[in-house]
Amino acid sequence: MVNHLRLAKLGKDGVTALLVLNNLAKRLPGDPQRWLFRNASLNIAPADFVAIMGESGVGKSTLLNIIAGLDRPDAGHMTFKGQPLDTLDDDARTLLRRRHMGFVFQAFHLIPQLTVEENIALPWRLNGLSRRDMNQRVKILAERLGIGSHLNAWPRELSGGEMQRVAVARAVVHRPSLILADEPTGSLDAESAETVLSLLREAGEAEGAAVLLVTHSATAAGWAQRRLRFDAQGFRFL
Amino acid sequence: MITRIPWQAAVWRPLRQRSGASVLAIIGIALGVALGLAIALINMQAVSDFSTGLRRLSGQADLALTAPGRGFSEQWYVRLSMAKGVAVATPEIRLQAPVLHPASKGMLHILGIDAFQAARMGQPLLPFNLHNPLAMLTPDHIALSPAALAHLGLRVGDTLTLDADGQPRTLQIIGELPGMGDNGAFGVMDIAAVQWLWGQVGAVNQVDLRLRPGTSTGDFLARWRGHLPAGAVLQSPAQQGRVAADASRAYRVNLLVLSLVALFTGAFLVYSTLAMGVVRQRQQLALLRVLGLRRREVVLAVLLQGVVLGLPGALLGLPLGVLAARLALAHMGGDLGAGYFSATALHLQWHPGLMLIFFVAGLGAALTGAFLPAWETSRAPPALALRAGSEEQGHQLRQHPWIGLLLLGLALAGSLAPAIHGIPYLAYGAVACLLFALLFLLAPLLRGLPRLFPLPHAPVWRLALEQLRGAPGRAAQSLAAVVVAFSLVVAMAVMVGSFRDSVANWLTDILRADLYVQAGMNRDAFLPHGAAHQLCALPNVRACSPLRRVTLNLLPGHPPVMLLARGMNSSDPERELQILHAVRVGPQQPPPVWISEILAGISGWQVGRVIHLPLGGQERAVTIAGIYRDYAYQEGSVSIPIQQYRAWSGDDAVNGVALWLRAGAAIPAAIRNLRQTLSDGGQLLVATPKEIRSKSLRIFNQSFAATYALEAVAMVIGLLGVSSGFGAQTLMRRSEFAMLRHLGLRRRDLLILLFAEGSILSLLGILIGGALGIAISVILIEVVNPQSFHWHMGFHPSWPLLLTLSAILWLASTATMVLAGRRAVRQTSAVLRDD
Repeated sequence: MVNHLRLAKLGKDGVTALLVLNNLAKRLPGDPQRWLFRNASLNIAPADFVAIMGESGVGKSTLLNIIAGLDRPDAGHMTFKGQPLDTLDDDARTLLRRRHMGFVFQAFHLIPQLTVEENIALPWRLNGLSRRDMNQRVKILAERLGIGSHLNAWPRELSGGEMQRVAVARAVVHRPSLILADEPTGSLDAESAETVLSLLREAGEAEGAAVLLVTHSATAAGWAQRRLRFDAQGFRFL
Repeated sequence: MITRIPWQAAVWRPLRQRSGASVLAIIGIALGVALGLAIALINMQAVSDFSTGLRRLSGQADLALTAPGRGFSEQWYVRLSMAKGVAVATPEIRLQAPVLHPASKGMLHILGIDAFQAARMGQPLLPFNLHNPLAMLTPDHIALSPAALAHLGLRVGDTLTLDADGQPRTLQIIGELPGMGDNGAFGVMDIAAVQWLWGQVGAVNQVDLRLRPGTSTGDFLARWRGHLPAGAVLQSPAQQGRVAADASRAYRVNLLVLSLVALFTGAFLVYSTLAMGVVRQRQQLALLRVLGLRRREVVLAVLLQGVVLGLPGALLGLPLGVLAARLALAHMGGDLGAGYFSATALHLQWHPGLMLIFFVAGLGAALTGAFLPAWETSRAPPALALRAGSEEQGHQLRQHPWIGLLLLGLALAGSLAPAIHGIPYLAYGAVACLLFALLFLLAPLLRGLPRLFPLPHAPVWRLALEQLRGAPGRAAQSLAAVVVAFSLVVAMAVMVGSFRDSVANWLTDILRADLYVQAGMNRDAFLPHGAAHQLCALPNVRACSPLRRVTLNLLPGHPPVMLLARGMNSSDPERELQILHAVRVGPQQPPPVWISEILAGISGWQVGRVIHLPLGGQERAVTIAGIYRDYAYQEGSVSIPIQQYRAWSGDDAVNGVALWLRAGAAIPAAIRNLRQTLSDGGQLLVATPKEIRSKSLRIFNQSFAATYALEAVAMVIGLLGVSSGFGAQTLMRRSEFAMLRHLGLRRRDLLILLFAEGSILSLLGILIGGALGIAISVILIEVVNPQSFHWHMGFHPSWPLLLTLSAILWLASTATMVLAGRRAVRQTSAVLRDD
């Protein structure tokens, strides 16, 4: 059964939603007889902010990995910007991820040997974009996120909240179409969490990027336009 | 694509963060390149010096008729100079003479030439003195090459004393040979003077021929092949040089392979450094994959880390190698003490091609070391690698025991395969397969071996053993370089020790007489006529055995072999020889001779076969009655009863005598008696078996000095590996130590834990490396040596030496682990907060 929760509007030129998940399913690793989840279908439009909630172990992070092209579904189809992802090889999926996606993790995952500025600029460099524009872009973003004075600092010199702001800046620096945020507030206090979520939403709106937020926190999910519960049977509206 | 790799994030800064380990890896590569280059430079220099010297000495000759030792009648020179197709013929005598003064300068090549014919041949060797053009013809005059002058530390006008046929002869140096450059240390004299001083009147051992234009060398060879003096060879000077160089080829290849051991260990050090490094970098590389770095870009990033380590290492290794070569040439000579080339100082020449090869080899070793970590890191699922605590999975990626087992199978096949063109390439390949198998089997072994021991009750020791059981991949990476280095050191120690023991046993076995009398340092020196009879007739002498040494050309394309005519009893050859195989030779068969196992290996001859010896101008049929062990003559030897030799050759000269004294005769008195009995008794070399044995073993140690040095460097590189591996491991575990501190372990407990882990781990490394080393030594002893040199040896590991090496390694690695750990257990609270 197709479980479409929201169909994206088709444009004049026939371009579909930014991301379409159609009956995705994944088996439990190490137990191919059992499903981790099935019938996961979802359409995400540009500039959407969707929160996915669910219990631990239902496969939320696995779903994000599948969307990012880091893992493959065992059944179902998926398109990104109208392009079927199932047919792409690892290189093509990597290039797609490099160009069109940004990531924010619970554990920040900043590179300790790079300064704040270099961490933020990393996706820009990977995409081979202009260096002159890069410096300006990094500065603007850092100012907007309140870490302008830390550009030359090392990650170890920052607080958790500051580190996650750097991660948000890094996620949007190359103007991706989709930001995947996996428990971005899980390691932060309430105040820092609020700041990060507001920045994530602002950044998404300002850059026109859709945000897919995986969280356990109802408060965090409250920042999203749509909130979905995810379990072994797929998505449900909250 | 390389430009897309975030250089700072993926390559440079991770290496800089592990700067200690990176510097050690660079030093490892530099030492490897330096040793390999030094040995190759010395080999190339020695062979080039030898063959260039021979070429220059031969002028513009097309062919040369040569016979070893005393050669052939000079009538052959007359006959060949008048032969159809010959434009110019020049007679020569080539020999080596011991230098008596200046002392300790070894042997000098002497060339006796006919100056007038040599000038017609175009030999650029005549030092013309305008004031005295005939000075060269004076018997006590000699001209030396620049290399000889440099080696002897003499100048034109000085004098030089040589041992000429057992007599000291002082010669005046009248000039420096032109046209020789730095190639070869030679002296040139008038041929008549050489014939007279060295007792070879009427004989020459080389005739150079220049053919008339239009005369085919092939036709000339075909015409003369069946009509040459017995034992003589007609060949081009180039072939002559090739034969001489081929004689030492296996030795040189062996030494080069040995020198590459250090580079190989360096590659393992890079592997260890980068394998540990990428595990530390695992989350960052996974993040870069998530952010869009492709697999091949991850491979490239880690390979670039290999380049960053290999490039300075290889560059640093080049000047170090040149320096090492210079030092070795100055102190050990062109053959590093093995006796293949005369002991003369060589001038190191510039070989940019060779240096380029070793630069590339150094870089290649670093890239080889980097490849496996690069490849496996790129295959790691990024989502999994991003999770905290997944480090051991990063180590476990390297555990593919089936590849290890496959490599073991290949090693077995390689060790059973024959040599290719006289070089045991496949056996060397087998050794490499054994070492590479270690990469894949070390972790399973480290997981399995600790399970053989029960878990101790002491909590810290228990934790140490559990650590090892639970994280064998991490332990394997930190141990890889040192296990490789230790196994190679063990292999070389067992091989050299076995060889030394075999030589010592052989010497004990063959030196059964009480005294050995030699005419002089030169092998060709004779005892005065009748001296052997006088010695045998001395009242305190019970029995004696004269010895005559003659070199013979027996095998085409091979250097001459030594014919040893001895006072041996045909029915009891074991009194003189260590017989390995024997057959009974019937009275109707040609007379018996015995050949050395080296000659049997080179020629393929078996016992019972009839061969021909060129003696007395004829080919004499003899039956091979046995094969004996002989470590003295590397080109092979044939032993024949001296009565038979005299009957065929008419030569009753004697080079030495072995004497058995009557019971109760005192050796010092016997020696005094000997010297007084003979007119030139003061010149005789008289030695007891004990003296010969100890001198031989001293020479043995000298010739393996290069091997010991290479072993030491491999061990140093291995210890660098321990230091780097254990250091990296303890740093990676800082958060674990911090957690243990929170659970109530004192700093002292943590250091005890590290000591326990270090000692267990290094003990296991010693056990595994030792076993691997013994397996490699079996290949070296049973396959590489027989295939390279055609001699066999027993298996005699020196256990005290091996135990000492093990103890050094155990102490060094345990101390390194504890020292590295001291840093890691400090400031643990900050570490846990960072985590």
